[in-house]
Amino acid sequence: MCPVSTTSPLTGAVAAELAAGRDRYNNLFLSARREHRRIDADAVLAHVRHRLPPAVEAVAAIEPAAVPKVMTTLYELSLELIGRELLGPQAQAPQLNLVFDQLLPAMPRLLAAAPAKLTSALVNAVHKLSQERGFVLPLWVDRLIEAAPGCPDVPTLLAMGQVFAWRGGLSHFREGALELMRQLPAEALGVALGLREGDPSPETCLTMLEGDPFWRPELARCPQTLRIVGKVGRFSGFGGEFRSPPTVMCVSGQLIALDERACWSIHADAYGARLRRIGPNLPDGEETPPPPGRSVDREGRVFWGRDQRAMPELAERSGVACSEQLMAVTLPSSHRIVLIALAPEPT
Amino acid sequence: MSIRSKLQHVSESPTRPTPGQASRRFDVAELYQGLLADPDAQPSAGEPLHEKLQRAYWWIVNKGIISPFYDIEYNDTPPQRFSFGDAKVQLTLPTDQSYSSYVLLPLLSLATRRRCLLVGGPGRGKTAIAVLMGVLAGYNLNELKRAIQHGQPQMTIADLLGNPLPSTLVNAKSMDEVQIAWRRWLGMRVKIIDEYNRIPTRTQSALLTVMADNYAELYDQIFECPPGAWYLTANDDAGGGTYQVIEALRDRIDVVVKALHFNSRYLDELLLRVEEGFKPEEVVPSQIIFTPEELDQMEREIRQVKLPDPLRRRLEFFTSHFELWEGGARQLEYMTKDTVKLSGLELRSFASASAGKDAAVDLGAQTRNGVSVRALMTTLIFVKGMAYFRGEKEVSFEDIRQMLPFVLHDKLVQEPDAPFFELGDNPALRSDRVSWLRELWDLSCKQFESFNLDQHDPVRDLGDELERGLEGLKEEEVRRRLAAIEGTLRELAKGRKLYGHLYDDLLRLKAMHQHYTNYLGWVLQCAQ
Repeated sequence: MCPVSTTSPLTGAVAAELAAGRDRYNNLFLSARREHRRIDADAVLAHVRHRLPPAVEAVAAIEPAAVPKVMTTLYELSLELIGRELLGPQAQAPQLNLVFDQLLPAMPRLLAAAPAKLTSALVNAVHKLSQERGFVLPLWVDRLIEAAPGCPDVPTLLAMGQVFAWRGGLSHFREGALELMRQLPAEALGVALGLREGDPSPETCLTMLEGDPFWRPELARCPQTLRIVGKVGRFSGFGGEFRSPPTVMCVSGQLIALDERACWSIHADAYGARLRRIGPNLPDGEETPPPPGRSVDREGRVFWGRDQRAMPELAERSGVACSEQLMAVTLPSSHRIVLIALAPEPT
Repeated sequence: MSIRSKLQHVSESPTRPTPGQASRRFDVAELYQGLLADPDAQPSAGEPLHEKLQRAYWWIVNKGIISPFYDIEYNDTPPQRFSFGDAKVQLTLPTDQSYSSYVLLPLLSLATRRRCLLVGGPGRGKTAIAVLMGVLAGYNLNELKRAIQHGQPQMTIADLLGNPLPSTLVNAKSMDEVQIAWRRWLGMRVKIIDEYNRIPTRTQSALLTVMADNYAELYDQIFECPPGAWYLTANDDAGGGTYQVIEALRDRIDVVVKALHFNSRYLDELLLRVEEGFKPEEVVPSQIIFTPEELDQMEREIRQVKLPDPLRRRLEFFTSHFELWEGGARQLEYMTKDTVKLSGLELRSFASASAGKDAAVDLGAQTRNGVSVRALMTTLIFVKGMAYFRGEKEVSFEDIRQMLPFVLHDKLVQEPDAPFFELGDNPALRSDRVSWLRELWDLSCKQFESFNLDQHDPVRDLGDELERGLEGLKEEEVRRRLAAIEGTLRELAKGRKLYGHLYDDLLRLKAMHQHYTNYLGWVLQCAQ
């Protein structure tokens, strides 16, 4: 069964390209069927009719010569995703349609320049971000669409996407995002950080971000207080990480949480807090003692050098571990880990 | 990613994760990794070669050829088993990564530069897998196709090796001056001999020299072949064909792999290939093609894989079963199947030698020969190759168990009239040599464990003592050791039957006794 028919109701650049390359597109479908025996021809047709035109027509409007390359890339990508049942009637990842419906039509110039690179990166990113608990994917998509016209090339756009992912709450991406931002031109850096009028300069922001994980431009004028900056961890029976209330420790400066099954690294900064699975064993390295003057007492008073604050919910704490800029506290009857730091308090 | 590049895509998994991998550091670049491969990604230069070998394996299995067989089974937890039919035929679902011998053995032959015989009926893809190996070694398809030597009854030595240049033949005043136009295949690192059992006997002898000694000789001229892997194909498992294969040539073959039948459930896949004219050898991805340097390095790395002492000891024990033929001589040293063979007599004429022995215990009665040194060396290389392929630094028990049948397939000749083959469902082992050899290994290991040889092995202990050297040994200590050897011999003599493993122990003890006796003589002479 061939998915591309001359009776297709398609019009415009997609229709013209399919007609011109009918045999080739049909052969691509046959080859895809070798790999994905159950690929649904109707699903491919429907996808081609409804999902490809926005991006292809946008490219045709600014760079008609790039249409065959873009069309082939999108067609092959569609075959792959439908063949793997990520898209189509049994779609396991329908959010990937965001790539076809919103992202690609908003960046025709970049799509024409490097279709394979851009599409595979965006599909991977959307898929990955959609699996992150609490991550607001539409916000990331909007930010990327907004940034695309100003991006000179695909690598810059992808670097922006990485920074947006970090700012969206993926705190474990912090170091990589900072590294990328150091390489961005000032204008792009400002866009990546979402700076507005009155905010410090991009360079200043970058310096501040590097120095303090809980600093962010919009909180630049807020006072620092000792406060809860995040809570991470849930019972595995409810889809969380831990089978039993976790233990926390600091190994070589990195906060670690563990139960009897696995170890997780704890990440928190101004944009969010996350746990990332390390594996069944503790990472190599020495256990780091807490910096002097940091503790939580039996009444739930948190001590951080000269600062202290009463947090009654921590009164029965079962464990405390500290890195330079973060404190992790566990409770005997909870799978949550409370994260405390000296951070600007939004007013 | 184009369809062609998709066919050429080498999966990042499933390779086999091994312990000791560093915990990963989170990188924002991960955002764009996952479902789809980066079209701009380059193969990593620092990738371990065993990983590359694994990737090559999985590419062939997933994309290259239709071989849905997982006959090399590994389990890390007890597997599920299902029984079928009146005979309770068992199907096992392996719990660890398992492999298809038809792909794995040729690949290991490439990595270890050994000689692999592919047997099976016509049209089962024997030549195809050999050609794929050639492509993996970096040869282009046309070059390979031209280099395949097709066995046929009229094949001459000149067809195989080359011709003297006519001008030099006419003008030469001595043989030294004759120049030979050597056949190109001799200089290749992958040599493919199709239907080798159709080559005339005389030409087989010339082939033997190339296979055995890695050089070709014509008109007193020598061509040194580079080290490489050999792939020979034959339609007949027994090595029959137009011409009988000379024994020395068969003996040079390191592993025998069966091309298994076509599973009818894969006809749709076959149909697709027919419709699309798919030829796997034309789309081998560049990431899994090995350079000559990589092949050399891989062979060196395989040699470095460790065989733990307890496993080596089990292999020794296994080997010891087969050479003894009690009735073949009066002196202990000559009581071997080889003695009988050299005499030109049939082993059967000494059948009474195994009378009274337990058919299940007397493993030696199941074979007509012992395990040669060459077979043992090949075994060692292949078990190391298997461990290497799985990313291990040491050979495991299962590596030996899985590799032995393929190495000894044509080396350990079965005695089909042995009483063992009359027991239970053993008659099937007469034709299924892979299962028979695996059963031999299992039975040997059971005996090894029943004798508790891991814990209590006086012959090994005495040997270790001797290995530490004789230098500075006092007369009293030498006498104590001699007495210990004699005591061990007395203890062993209490058994009522002489089995192969005991035979090797007796000869070892005798040799050790001689060492000490000679040393004692020297010590006493010095003391005078």
